Amino acid sequence: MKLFDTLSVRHKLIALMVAVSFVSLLIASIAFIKTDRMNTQQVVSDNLSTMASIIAANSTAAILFGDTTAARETLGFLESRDHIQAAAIYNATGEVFATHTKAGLDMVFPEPDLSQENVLFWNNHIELNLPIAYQGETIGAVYLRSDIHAINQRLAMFLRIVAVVLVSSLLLTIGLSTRMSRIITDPLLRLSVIARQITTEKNYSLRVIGREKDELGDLIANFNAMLDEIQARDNALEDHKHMLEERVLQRTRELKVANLELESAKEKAESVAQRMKYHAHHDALTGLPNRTLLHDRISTELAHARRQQTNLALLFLDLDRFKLINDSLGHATGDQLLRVISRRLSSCIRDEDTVARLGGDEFMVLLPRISGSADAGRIGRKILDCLVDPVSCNGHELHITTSIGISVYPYDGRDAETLLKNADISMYRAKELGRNKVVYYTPEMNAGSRKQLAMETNLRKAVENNELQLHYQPKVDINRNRIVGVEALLRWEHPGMGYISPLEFIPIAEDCGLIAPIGEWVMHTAFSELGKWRTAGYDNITMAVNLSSSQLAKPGLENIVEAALAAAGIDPGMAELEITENVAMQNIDSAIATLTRLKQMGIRIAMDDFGTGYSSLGYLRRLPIDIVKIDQSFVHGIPDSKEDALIAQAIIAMAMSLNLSLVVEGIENARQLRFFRQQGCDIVQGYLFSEPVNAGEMLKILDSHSTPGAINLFN
Amino acid sequence: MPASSGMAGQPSTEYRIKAAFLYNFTSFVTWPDDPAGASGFTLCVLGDDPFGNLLDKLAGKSVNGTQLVIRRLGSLALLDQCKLVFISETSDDQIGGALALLHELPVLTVSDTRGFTERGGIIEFRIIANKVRFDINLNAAESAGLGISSKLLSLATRFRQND
Repeated sequence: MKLFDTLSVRHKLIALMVAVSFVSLLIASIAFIKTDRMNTQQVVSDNLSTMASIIAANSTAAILFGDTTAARETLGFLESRDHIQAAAIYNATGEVFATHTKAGLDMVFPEPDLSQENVLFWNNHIELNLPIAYQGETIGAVYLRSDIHAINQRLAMFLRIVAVVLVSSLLLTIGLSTRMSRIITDPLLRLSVIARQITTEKNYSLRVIGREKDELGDLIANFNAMLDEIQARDNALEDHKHMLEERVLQRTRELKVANLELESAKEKAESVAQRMKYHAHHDALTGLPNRTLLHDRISTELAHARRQQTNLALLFLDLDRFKLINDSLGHATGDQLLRVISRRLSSCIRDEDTVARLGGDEFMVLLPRISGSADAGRIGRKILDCLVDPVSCNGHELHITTSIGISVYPYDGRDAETLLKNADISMYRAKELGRNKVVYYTPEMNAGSRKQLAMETNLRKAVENNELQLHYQPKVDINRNRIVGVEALLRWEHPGMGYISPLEFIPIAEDCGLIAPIGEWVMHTAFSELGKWRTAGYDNITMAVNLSSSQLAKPGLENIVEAALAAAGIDPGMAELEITENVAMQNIDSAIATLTRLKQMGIRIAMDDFGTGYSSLGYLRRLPIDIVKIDQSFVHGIPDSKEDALIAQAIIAMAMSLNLSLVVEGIENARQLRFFRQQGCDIVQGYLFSEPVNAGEMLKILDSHSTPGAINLFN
Repeated sequence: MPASSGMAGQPSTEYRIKAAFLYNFTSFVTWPDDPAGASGFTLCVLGDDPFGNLLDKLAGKSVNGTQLVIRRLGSLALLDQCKLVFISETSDDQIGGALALLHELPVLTVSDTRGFTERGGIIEFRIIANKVRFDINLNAAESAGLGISSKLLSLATRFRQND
């Protein structure tokens, strides 16, 4: 079989055909010879039997009357039967009665079988024994012996014929299959040759020629089709490469030009089609996105919100009493007013938000990726603030207000249509409530507030029942291998509902006024805990406490902080207050004033989750910030996400250039740690070192790291 | 002559063979239908019986569908009742009368008396080279209305025809 494997396909085919023809011929020949031999034997034995019957019939009288001469005469005709070697007639007692023997043969006659006829085939002769019956009695037997030389000769002749047929058919098969196998092997050979040629020359324009209509034809056609595909792709790649090269060159040229005459070039480059596309998606009067573009963005952002499980809000705006202005002062004034309002709306939202004009005095604001319903409300109120200043139009001082209805994904609808409808409904509710209002949508105006009410009740109980706890997460100086501070994190473990995120309950606490007592409790608890640690000997650890927007907005914050520090006996230099961008931006001017006073007390201010909010760098520079914390949402993707890495690097560069300290939040693994170490960041915080733990645990961690040998656990 | 030695007591080998021959003859001879419808095939011995009790052993055997009956006759009186008559040598003097009586009657006459066929008998036993053989007078058989099988004829040493 090994030898067979090494044969070429063509030789395999030949071998197969030869083997098949040989085997089938051989089987046919053997069957034929066997059948013929059986038939011949039957004929011979039948002949012999007939002969014996004649002898038996003719010799009955001779036997009965004991006439051996007569009996011998009945055998006389055998003389002319050349193949009969011997014959005998026996009488009833089994004695030989008469015989006939061919000349030259020495014969010993066997005992007869008087009971039945039987035939014995030997190699060279056949023996037949036939009892002779007369009137129901056995009176003797006939014995005949015939040579079967003729049969054997016939067999020998057949064998010779078979041999000749086998050999000639073998030769014929070899000859035929040699030619026929080309039918199969030639196309394969062509395929193989072309495939090798393509491999060596990389010339994909070569094709295999084949007119076969069978599977091989299909194979060739498919092979050629594959080559077509490859060639097309090769050409496309080549074209693409040229195009890319050209584009790079073109871009380089364009950039050079653009640097000189960017604005004019841009305008020239803007094609009619682009302008048309712009018009299709923008409102002609205000230049704001129109309903079409808004719907596009809503569906895009909804998809994103579904994937990322974030919130999304729609703010439906309808200007109050606009019709009055339009009717009394004319359309021109109305249009100018709409343009001014549009600009103001655009300026008081984030870049990623969309403000669209739906027509008339209706606007829609899309707020993607907000952290909760409260964000939407804040922005709604901010919009109301943006419109407070009167608008001067054609010599008129116009005071304009708007009513805003809010719907939030996923609470108020899971699709664009529902969200739009619900925002619209809640806008009307705002009108009903007296205009210049922001109203959330709720099923019965509204179920959301019922939930909020329940949460409020729970939160009040939580404060009373001490369900609120502070946990502490260490900040580690990776250069000095020591804990330099902790961040106090508020936790609410509800007996029934389990852990509730601060993101969820802090806005509610702000809305219902519970934020003041909670905030104070947090500050007192955190600082008094720090006091305990100081007493235990850890006197160079800072304590960071988060501030909410209403805490920051309420006058007298510095007094509360001062009181808490004094009660715990803490140096203000050991205290840090963390604010988020959004908190700071709520009322930037008062925030700057309050934070500046706190800073003057010696307290350090940290900007939490920097880069995620609305703030611009300009505002940031005005805030009296000491520390920037890189938000864990950027850290998470590092180092695999290039985008996150770039943002982190940009924040680090900015902080360094503004001479701010840096804290990296949310370090979860050694790769992230290595990245930030390389970027020159010293202070890190995250699960890699410790999750937020309660005060007792925190003290244990401090104890375990006070001995120099244990510090390396951080690495 | 051994032919006479079987006369007393035990029959000789010769007569054993002859007895068997008598019986075998019935197979090769055809008798015309018997209008009287006589029951049985009567084999008669005229004169002294040289077969001893051999023929009695044959009695009751089947011949042409009827039973073989043996009769020993002292006179010619009942001769025409026989189908086959063996006329012993001792009745030499009675042969002429018997043959005359049976002339053209379908009775197979057999004897070992020399010259029996010349005298009109149908089968005559002979001893040739120490073997029992027989002659057949075909004319006599034909005039008696008996058919003799060619097989039997071929065994006869001589047979007389149209003399």
